Amino acid sequence: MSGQMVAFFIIGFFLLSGALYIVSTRNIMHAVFMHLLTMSFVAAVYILLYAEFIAAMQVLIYAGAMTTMVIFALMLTRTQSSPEGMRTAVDNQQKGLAFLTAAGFLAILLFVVTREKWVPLEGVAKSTGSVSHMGGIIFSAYVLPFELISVLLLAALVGVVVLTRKEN
Amino acid sequence: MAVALPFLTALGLIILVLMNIVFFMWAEFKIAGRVVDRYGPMETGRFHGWLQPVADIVKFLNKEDIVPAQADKLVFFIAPFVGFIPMVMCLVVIPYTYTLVVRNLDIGAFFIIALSSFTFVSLIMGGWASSNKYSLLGAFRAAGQLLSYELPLGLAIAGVVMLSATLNLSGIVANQTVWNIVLQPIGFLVFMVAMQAELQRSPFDLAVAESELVAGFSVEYSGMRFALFQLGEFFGLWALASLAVILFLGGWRGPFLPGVVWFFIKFYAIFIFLAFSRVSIPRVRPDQLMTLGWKVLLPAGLANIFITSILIVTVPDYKLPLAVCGFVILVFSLIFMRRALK
Amino acid sequence: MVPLSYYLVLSAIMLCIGIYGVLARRNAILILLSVEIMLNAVNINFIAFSRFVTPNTIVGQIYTIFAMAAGAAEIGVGLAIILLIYRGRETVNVDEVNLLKW
Repeated sequence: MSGQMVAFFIIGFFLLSGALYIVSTRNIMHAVFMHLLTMSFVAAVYILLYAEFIAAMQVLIYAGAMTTMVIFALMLTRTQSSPEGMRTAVDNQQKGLAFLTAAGFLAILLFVVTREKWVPLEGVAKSTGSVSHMGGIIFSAYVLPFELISVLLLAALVGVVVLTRKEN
Repeated sequence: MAVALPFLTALGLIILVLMNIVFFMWAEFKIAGRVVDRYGPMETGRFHGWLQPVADIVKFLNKEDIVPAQADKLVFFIAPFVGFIPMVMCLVVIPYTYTLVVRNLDIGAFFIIALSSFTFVSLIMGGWASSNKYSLLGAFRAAGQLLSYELPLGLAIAGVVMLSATLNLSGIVANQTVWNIVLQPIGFLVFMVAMQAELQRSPFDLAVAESELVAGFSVEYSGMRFALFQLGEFFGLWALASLAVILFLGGWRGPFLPGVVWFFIKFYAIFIFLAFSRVSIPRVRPDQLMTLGWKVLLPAGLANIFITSILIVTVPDYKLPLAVCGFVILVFSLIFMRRALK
Repeated sequence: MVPLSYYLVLSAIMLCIGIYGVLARRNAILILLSVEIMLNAVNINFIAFSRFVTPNTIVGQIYTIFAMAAGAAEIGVGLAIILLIYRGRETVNVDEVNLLKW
């Protein structure tokens, strides 16, 4: 039982229990704070997989900005601060069917994943990957998706500002 | 022993920072006093009140731990730690000399920026869990301020990283034959202003000192919990000031003295600059804060990256044109800053 | 060394937890959080494959960067739409936004 296995099981346990808490709690603010914790554990999984740059990006984007954005949206829609908000249930009537669907999908996925033998296409890793290596690949082979993603982010930014402008 | 060495270094580092708190708090009191022609603390301890910070810490420890009756207990307890622990983690990547670093990560500068994004959520958790309207409003204002100044901070660092072609902090220092403050003057200005806003020090301390918002997000916290918020801010000050020294002032490079001594000389110089600016600049209004963050610092940072990248790629000997263009744009952005702060 | 199938099982379980969350929650913001859980499960999958199958041209990590950026843009626009719905109808329960039903 190497150190990586122990770390993997601990992180996996906390990750899955955090995700389960998010989908089953009645308290929306607690769900958002647990979402922050879950994203941090996903960053820990990335570090186990030798992807430190992606882990730092995950913390910066999700744990930092995304949680704040969701909290601002929660406050602006007053979901739990009004008396009616506290009394409404957060789960709809389709809980049983949703559980069956998710369980069926999980069964199919686990069947596929544990039977298949994945072939390493490139042999042994030459290095554990570094930021300059990733930068070289992005700006040589993947420069078109890079430009497209910046256009997408610009469109999302302009769209959000236009959508939420008050008509005066 | 080889396994325990990073742990021992980290422990020694934390003890060093905790002992420095006493010195920093005392220096800040004294500077704040002398600038307005007062003496500062003179009583506690025989020599110029040097035990005043220790007295403050003992006062914090002695206070009663009041938790509001309707507060959300779990979130109330966790909020100071969510702000404090990532700031302590930032100390891992800071190199004090070639070999004195706990762990020389390849993503050093980015690691510190990513970890300092946890402070937004800690503020909001603290403000929300206090079940107090005013602390919630103060928490949102503070989070808005932190979010607005995170971008210029990242842009200032991006300029330096472009010059050194690595995110590794030791590599950035090793590349500085001439200090980066000469090559990236706007980057330094943007970094200094954004650092003060990120640490919520004066003149950017709207969230904790505004008279109509009582005391901001930490109004319901008393005793050691409040001290934990302040401690998190202090570790953040240490991390960001060390980052300023490494990125812009040449880290441990210097002629005669050993590297560590130069590092701490520059570090204390930055701290004294921050203490002076705390005392001499009046607090900004919220609209001035937002104008400064979005309309002055963000375009200045973007212009910096633009000019730096064009000059690095086209001109083979880019140092002199870069310094000249940098100073020109610095003058322009200072003019804009004056107009924005009216 | 943790074998690849362990990471794939972890990501499959997380994906199904996200599917349950999307189908069973009534509050629109909680549905968005469950969608984010699903996105992160998929990203774990990509990075696990990039580590074990293509460790030198780190295709999975590069895809993850783009997926994270696209996910962030999507959540932003989704929250803006939720705000608009709230302005019009004073509710964020997706059960009550059913004007187009037969």
